[in-house]
Amino acid sequence: MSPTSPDTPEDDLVRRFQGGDEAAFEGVVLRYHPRLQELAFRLTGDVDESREIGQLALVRAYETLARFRGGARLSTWLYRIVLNLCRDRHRKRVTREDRLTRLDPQEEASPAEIPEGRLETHEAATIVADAVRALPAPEREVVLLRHYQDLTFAEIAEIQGEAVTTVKSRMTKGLRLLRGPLKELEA
Amino acid sequence: MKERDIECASVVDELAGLLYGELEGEVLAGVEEHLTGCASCRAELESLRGTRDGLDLWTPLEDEDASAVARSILGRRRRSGVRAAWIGIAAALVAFFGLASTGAELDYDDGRVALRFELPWIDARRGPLRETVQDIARAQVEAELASWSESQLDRFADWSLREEEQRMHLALAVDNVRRQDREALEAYFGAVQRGAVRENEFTREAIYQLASLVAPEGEQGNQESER
Repeated sequence: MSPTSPDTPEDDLVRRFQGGDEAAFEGVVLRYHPRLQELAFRLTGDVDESREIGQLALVRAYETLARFRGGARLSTWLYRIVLNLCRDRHRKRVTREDRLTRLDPQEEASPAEIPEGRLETHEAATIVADAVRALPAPEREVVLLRHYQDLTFAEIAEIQGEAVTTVKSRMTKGLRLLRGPLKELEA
Repeated sequence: MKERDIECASVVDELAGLLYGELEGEVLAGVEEHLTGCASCRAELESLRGTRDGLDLWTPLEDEDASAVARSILGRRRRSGVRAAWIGIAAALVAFFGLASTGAELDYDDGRVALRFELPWIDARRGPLRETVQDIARAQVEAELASWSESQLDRFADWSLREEEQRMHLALAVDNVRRQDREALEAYFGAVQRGAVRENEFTREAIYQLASLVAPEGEQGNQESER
């Protein structure tokens, strides 16, 4: 099975790469880069930053994958790198004064520039994005990983290093905190 | 607390699993049965479901060309001419050896890029080795940074101190293995482990892998067989 096939098992990709098959790494990138960049984007709201974080996580994977011993799943490892990078950038961001940011395209346009009929969609997306990003970090990560990355609670527990019950509680708490801000969007 | 309240509390804990289709078997049956007879929990479920559905209004980013990303990473690693892991280590070595026992600073491009961190518990006495390593590492770091774009340099200036601390631990561990300073190596590994939080599992794994890379030949064989 080709390493770039979406059906190739993750372990197989790692093994092939460790055996010298660089095409296997391309398979890793094809499979994970879109997800990693999207996660970074939803966390940071910055297109350029999310692209860089996604690539950085994969560069790190390339540098050390040759000796990855499989103590954790590759995907878990990659997500953890992205979350760490985003947390670090967030900490830096709150104290920066000269921020260079290309904003979330859904938030960037002013209402006057948005075609009629799409304004409501744009505003709704902005409300949701702001609300999710305003969540406490543990709950924000769970919401993003479960709802938008479609990881299971067990996978998220592995990434966060917590019990599954803790992760589920964070999800419930996250949804409850979002209830107020998202209530105005209910039809 | 009444038995009913305890039951409701247990069910509420499972609502997230129910919403995302992760309940099954007896747990699923028990939750569904409870919901049949509990208006309060049903209301809570519907409220959470409405919020969950609202999350879908935030549509995804358009995908970047992942193939181009892969080619970029693979090409960049080939062009560097230096093993990528050693570049990060070199940067850490330069940063570490360039300081007194409590602070570190490396300036590049007239101070626009600087690595700064502190490790008060590490005693930086390396003698003659220090300057040689510093010169080599500085040349490697400069070669690497020279290939970066303006935006990358801007962002490098803000990179996490914690990331560089981790790289420094790696660099010191490698240095000690090379010098067969086993006692110091154990101390460094122990210090990293004591200081590491769950998020640093990647770093611990990288340290062990790197140590196996540079260990003397006899020990490499033993480490391979342990996998």
